[in-house]
Amino acid sequence: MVGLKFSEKHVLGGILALLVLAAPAALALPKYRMQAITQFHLDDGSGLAALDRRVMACSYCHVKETGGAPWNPFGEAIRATFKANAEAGGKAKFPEVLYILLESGADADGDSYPDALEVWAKTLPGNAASKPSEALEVVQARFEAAGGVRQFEPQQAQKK
Amino acid sequence: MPLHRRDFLKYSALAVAATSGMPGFLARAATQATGQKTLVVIQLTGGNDGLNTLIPYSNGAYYAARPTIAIPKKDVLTLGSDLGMHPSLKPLMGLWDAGQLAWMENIGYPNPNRSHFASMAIWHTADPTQAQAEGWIGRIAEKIGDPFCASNIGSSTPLALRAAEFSLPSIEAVDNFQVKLPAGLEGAFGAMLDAQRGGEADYLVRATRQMLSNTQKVQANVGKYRAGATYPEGKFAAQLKDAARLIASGTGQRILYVSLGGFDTHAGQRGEQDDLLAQLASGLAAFQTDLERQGVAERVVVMGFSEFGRRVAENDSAGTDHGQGSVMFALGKGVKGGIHGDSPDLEDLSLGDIKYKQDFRGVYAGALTNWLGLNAREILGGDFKGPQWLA
Repeated sequence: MVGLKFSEKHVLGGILALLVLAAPAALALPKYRMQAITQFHLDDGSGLAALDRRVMACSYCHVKETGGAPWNPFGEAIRATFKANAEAGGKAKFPEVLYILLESGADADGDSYPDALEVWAKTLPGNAASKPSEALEVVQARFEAAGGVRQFEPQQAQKK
Repeated sequence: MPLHRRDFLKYSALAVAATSGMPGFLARAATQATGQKTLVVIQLTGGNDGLNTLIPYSNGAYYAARPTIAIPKKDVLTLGSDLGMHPSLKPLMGLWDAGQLAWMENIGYPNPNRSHFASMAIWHTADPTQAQAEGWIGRIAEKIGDPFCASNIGSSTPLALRAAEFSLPSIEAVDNFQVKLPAGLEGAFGAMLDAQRGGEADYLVRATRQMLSNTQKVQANVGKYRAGATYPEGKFAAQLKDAARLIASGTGQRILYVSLGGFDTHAGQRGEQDDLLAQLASGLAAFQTDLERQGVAERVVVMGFSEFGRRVAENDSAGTDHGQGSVMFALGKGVKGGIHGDSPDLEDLSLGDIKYKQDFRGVYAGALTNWLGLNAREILGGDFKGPQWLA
């Protein structure tokens, strides 16, 4: 008659512990950030965008790297768009609000490059120190050739 | 060598993990006594806004604090002279009219915490001091000596269902829970089980054989299930349907746990919460209809909670930020329908939040004592009074 050896018990216990620990942790990944990454076509499909702050840092919209209040000019513009939509009786969700803002041609940080253009050029629409190196007209032409603001239209809106 | 109770629990869970990863409740199900009452816990993840769920529609302070996101009085589903439900909850009106829907007002706990993680842990452990590491349902499993008495329907087991030595099983989809060995390994697996063993290894082998045998019977029962209601689309409704299948199949689970996420409505709350409450209500209405038609509605009650409510005043994003007190709900034939508690006092706030008046552990105590027939004091670590929400 053979019982489990001490080491075997620990191996099996380790397996169990791994199974328990392998349960997906409730990672604090802000919903809005992930929605924006998808909408801005920044997700390469690897699934790593959720974990890689270089893809989109919280400071894309917030002042602090940890998120929360206060917001930078682009974040404040999103908030104002939410509020205006609600005041008009709308019930727009984040992707729709983001598109409403980009489509408006607004330039939140006042660097003369519209927010949509900066999103496409991968510079920061809420930071005037971050802007495309080429002239506005050049970038604008390339942006339009690439599909313009409609490339950021939420999937649901495209179906309508 | 005799096994101690804690060892037994650990190795029971281990037997499951070491063989197929199949949830252990299936192993016990065929031998589990049927007819026991089941509690279905609904977790609304993210901090559901109680004020826009159960609306104080006659209170001017509510409309003053929420100029863009308040539910217009004309849209409120009136329940009484002060309070009414969000219009998205209309599918639950039949249960309300039948006295099978209870709302519990101003629910919270001492020293409220506005962190999602910390507050959810407090609700999961039933311990506002955050000293307790085990979940309240995990402690039930330890107290009654059954590591498979409850399951989470979903992909990851919440803290509520974790005990010191083991974690209660999570079921992503009932149909997927079968023993499916990789091709060519059947013989080796059989030979492993046939090998002569003793002691704890023998226990593991016997537990595995029992699991394989019982699982076939349980799967046969689950396979006989025919939905008694048309469930709406979506993951939440599908999980409720799985819960109904398990209950109707007589798997003997005492507690089933289902979550609906997305309630962290910092911006554009109406768009988000309106949809979520519609999912909640349509799913629960179908679930209850299904249970009725399966003939098991008498032995199931649903209890719902969220980790906190939200601030009374809306923010500048047409949303609300993390708050304190909120509402809980319960439904089922065993529930004492009505509103348990007063309409929230919006003139007497705690840092801009609704003050809690009823401790959530009192609600848990009701479920433990009056529904599951368990010793709430042992599980919660104290005596907690709460609303009498069970009939």
